[in-house]
Amino acid sequence: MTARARAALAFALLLAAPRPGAAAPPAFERTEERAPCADYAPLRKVHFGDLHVHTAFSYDASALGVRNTPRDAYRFARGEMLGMQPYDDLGNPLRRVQLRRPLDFAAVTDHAELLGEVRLCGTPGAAYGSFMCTLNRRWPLLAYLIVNSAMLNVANPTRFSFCGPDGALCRAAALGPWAETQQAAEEAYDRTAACRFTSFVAYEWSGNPFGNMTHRNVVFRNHVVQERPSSYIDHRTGAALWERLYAECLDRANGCDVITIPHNSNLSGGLLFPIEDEAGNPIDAGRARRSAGIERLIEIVQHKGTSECRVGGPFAEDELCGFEQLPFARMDQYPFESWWTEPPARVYTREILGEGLAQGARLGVNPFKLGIIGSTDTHLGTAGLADEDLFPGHGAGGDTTRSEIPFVPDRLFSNPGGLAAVWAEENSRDALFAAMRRRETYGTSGPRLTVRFFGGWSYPDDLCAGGDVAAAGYAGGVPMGGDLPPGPSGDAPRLVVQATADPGDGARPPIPLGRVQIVKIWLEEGGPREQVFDVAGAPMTDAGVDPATCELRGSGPPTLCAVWRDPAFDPAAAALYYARVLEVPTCRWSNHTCVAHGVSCATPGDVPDALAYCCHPGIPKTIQERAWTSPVWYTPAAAAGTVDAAGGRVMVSGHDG
Amino acid sequence: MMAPVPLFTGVVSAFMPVARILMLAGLCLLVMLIEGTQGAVPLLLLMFLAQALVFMALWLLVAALAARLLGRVSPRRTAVAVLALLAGGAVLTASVDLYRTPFRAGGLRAGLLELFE
Repeated sequence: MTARARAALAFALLLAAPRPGAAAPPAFERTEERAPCADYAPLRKVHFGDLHVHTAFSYDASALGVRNTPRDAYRFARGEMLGMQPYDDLGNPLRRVQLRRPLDFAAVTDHAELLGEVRLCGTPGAAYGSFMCTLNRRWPLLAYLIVNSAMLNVANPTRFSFCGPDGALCRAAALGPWAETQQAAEEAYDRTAACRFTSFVAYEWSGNPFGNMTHRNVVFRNHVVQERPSSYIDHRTGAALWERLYAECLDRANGCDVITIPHNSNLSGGLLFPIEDEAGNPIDAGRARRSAGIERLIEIVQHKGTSECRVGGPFAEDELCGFEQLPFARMDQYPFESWWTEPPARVYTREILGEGLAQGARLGVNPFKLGIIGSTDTHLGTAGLADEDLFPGHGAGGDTTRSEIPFVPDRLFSNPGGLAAVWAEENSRDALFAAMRRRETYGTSGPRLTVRFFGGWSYPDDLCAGGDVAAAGYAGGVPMGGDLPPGPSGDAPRLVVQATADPGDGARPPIPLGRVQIVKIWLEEGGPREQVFDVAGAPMTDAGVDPATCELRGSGPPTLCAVWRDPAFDPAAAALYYARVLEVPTCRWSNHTCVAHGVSCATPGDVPDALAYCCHPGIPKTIQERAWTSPVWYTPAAAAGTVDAAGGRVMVSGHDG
Repeated sequence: MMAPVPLFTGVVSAFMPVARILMLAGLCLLVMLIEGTQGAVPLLLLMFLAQALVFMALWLLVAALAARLLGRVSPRRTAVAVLALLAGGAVLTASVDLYRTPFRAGGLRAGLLELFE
């Protein structure tokens, strides 16, 4: 049977298959020609991926000796072994890595900035012999420090002189790697009915005014994309980026669709989600609507820390906010502790979501209505390598393993990053992208936890005791990322959360769950408030880990489920709810390194200097891996007429927000 | 000038001769002349120059002390000692990878002969 015939048969079977009528949510729209997936699931299934991956096409990665290309990154994401730096004199990699489980999807997101410069400096030609290109090849780390500070950590970046008048040479040169990125994505995309892997064409816009990260990944729905990626050098604000994306994609009515996913709000200095426009005026409803139509998700965890909530914030007793959090406000502060400062307002996801409620009440449109994902931000092409015990470092920000395998694979404050989890009917671009647009996503710090989260008004208390949570969840309410429909007077919303442990793989057993929490953020007296509720499991369980061996001990539940009713619901106050699911403690990557080297703190004289941290009480030996769901929003009925746009369907140039 | 000294940048640690630090300072100066003074390039230049000057002053002090000590012995023996010291130093730095310089493209550790490649 030919592939075409198999596809036709699969499609026929799909059409003939019985569908659960009222329980199934509306299906996604197909925009591309491909075989429908054989394992289409009307009630959706979870897919794990990485939407933040850099390769040698990114300037910082290339300067640090990375040779893996987008094609290599996709090979790795699909489960193949990948070589990585350092390389010997013959060009053979001295390290090899492989995922234990392939990813379902990935997006290579190389920096749009300097895309052409990297190509020109690496290709014999007019610019190859220029001073800056020579500097880059012969003194790459010095070049990195200079270029990073002079080109990107400034408010008004300019191009190098070798780029010619108005940077035309470098802009033109960027078309080459951009085309190769698209080609690599197309080759990796499984268009057969097997639907084993989905790739997205994407890039990263890396705004960095004065060292404050306002970075955003730009992810396209299908193969119809911008002619060239927009860079911070040419478009210097998030708003300018969005306008470019509207003009060159969304407004073209040619099948192009795109979202942006900001990341590292923890290092943004509060500039990632401005509440004033460039002229200093409060943002208006039009601006809010434009951003809400395109900025749908936020990356809550990655290599450079988590961005969930502030330690010692307004809900100070949330002791879990410190998980993999950086102790400084900007990356350029990290070399000296005396430089560290407290991050300003609106850098943590909870603060941003709360501000969104406040802006929504003021404008009638919530500009910061964001779903949650995690990703790695690897700069080695190692998509989805978020396992603590496999962590080879992610190679960002000046770290160089160009010449030597390091004792400790990364800076101690870094972490392996996380994964994006997407609930979709099938593993195809259209299905996954539609899920991302409706924010039916969650982020994990690495494990493949399965988490369902629904909001409604009438879920029975005993739903978890044998009921079909997914069917009942869709039939009686909305999934994560959605808006609660108007409820009966005097009633409070019910949230259903069902979490299943990572099943593990051949090398690792399942890790039991610890507890499930629901975080509520609401408006009170004009400002956001937040509270965390334990709804299932327990803070302390029998299960845990022996830090000396990293062996799991004890046992715990593989599944936790709860139906929770908000005990302090105010129907007049805008609110949102998201779930946080915690595993029992396991070893942090840095402790895996200590165990692998057989460090014994009983004989400190035998501990190598590079591993002295192993015996330092300030470096955590264990962590609690976790998942964060996208929120479910509630908008008061009085405001729903206007805020409906903020919540549910922002119509932007024909694109259903 | 060829004896290794630590280099502090905060971002990377290195162990290289003062001449190498001066060379890095010179590269920063060239960048400023060709591409302008935007960003932290002037700061990098100052950092390199300051450290080079400090270590040159220290070596000058060491050399002055050594000269004073050698002044007590005969000129012939002084010449032999200085030549032996220089030759030993040259052999040592050329044969052992004394330097640790992540700023090189060719490798993290290097001897004198590969240092300026």
